[in-house]
Amino acid sequence: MYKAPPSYGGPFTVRNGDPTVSVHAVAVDQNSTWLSTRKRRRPMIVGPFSSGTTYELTTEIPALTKYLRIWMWGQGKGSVSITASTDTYDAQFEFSNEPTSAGIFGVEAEWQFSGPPQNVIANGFDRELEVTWSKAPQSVRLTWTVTDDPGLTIWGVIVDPVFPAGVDLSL
Amino acid sequence: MSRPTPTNWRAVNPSDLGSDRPIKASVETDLIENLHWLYLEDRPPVVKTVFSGGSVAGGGSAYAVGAGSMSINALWTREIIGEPFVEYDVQVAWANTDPVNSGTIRFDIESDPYSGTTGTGVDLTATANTAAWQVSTVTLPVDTSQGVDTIRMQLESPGGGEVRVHSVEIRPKAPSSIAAGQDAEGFVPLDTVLVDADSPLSSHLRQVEVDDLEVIRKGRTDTIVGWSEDFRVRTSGGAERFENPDDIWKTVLVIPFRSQPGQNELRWSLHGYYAAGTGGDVQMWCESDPNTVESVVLQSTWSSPYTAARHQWDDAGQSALTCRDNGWDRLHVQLKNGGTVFTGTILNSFSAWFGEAD
Repeated sequence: MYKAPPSYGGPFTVRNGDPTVSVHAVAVDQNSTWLSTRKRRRPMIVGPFSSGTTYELTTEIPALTKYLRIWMWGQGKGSVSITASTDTYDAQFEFSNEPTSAGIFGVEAEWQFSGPPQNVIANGFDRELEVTWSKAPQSVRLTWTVTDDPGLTIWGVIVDPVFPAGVDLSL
Repeated sequence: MSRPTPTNWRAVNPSDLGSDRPIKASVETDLIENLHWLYLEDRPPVVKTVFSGGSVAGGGSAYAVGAGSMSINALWTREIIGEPFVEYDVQVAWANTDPVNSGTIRFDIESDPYSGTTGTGVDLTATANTAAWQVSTVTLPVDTSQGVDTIRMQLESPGGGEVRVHSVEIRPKAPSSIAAGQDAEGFVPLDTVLVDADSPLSSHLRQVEVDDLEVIRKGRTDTIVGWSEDFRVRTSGGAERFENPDDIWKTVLVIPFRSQPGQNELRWSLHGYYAAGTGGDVQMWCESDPNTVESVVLQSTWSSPYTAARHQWDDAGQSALTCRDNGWDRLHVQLKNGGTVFTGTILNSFSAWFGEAD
């Protein structure tokens, strides 16, 4: 069996005299699968996060997740290394948007999100972090550090649970 | 005969549901088990906070610190998600630098404050001499009679050392069973007897199943931000609060988010005030509707405990924000102060979440 994540099919109404038809069962499965695979555990983690400290969050990752797409809202020049307890290597972000004026907040910050998953054998890649494929929720410990070059501040982080296009949900 | 509570989602083979396939009790059971799994496991978190600039020493340390006696360190105000959730899972990363004295990490709710013996809350003992960061999960009861409630974190460091909290994640706790009968949200649990091999398969069963899925889709409102600073350091410089001393709008938050079908409204809450100057304001809007700006006039100076500093979407004169339905959008939050003095307008906490979907 191969089962791909579907789109939302919408509700329907069964009326008096309607027979039991397979299309209704298909629609129930479609909406149920869509609800199971929509990823919505992504409230923004508000900073500021700066160099000299290791930050961490143990977070629950929903079922049917394969990768974590990380979003970072940064201002300044430098890099961020982020690791997950389910991945051997880190992923990295590079920022080079030196502000044109002194600001105390992310006025001139930019959002970046991690690149696609890769087969990696080393640290330093721009990629989504791997988590163990599971049909039940799991806890993952994330840690991140900022290296400024100079003055990088991360004002927000979003952890976006995703699965690759074409994933087989029956695995 | 039972209302199943599966621990895993099951992939139903679409070919088993085809028009020329025999009806199987096992497949019908999988359909209702997935529905129940969603009922229990579709649990949007309400808080994700990493304390990044707290400490009474003047900031720069990535943790909240307890006082000698119990005092409020963090506040998150949000709507209650509703049935079947009657408890929160609170996952907290903590440490205690005191070599001898254990401390306390308390989570409770404003509607029924916890004293340690009475009220609604939970205490986590921060064992003496525990290095950073110990991750613990505690269970906080929900007052389901409330529409909106404030979750409070209080810390106590009774000795010379410090009870520290680095991060907090709060989400509804999955119940271990499903009560019989329709719940207050409209969800109708299904019994396996309805799909047994010797039971007739009702056409109406499909209506109940799809209606149940709609109850879950509409009612599990995603959070796009659930943040609090360490309230103990609201008067010291270098804390992680957002502060604007100037008479110009400054952006403090830009949050990208994606709405689901029928989600077109953002509800919000915040704690803030202005410490000096001639007035403090917050404004916010969604990029898809830039002409609809929600403005909040803050109180001057901090007054204990904190309720006068709280503002939310359903206060008189305030409203929710309109956002793009079923698409990407961005929430902007800005601060302004009427004067030009330092320690001007201060934002101490901010939460935003979707209204119930259409």
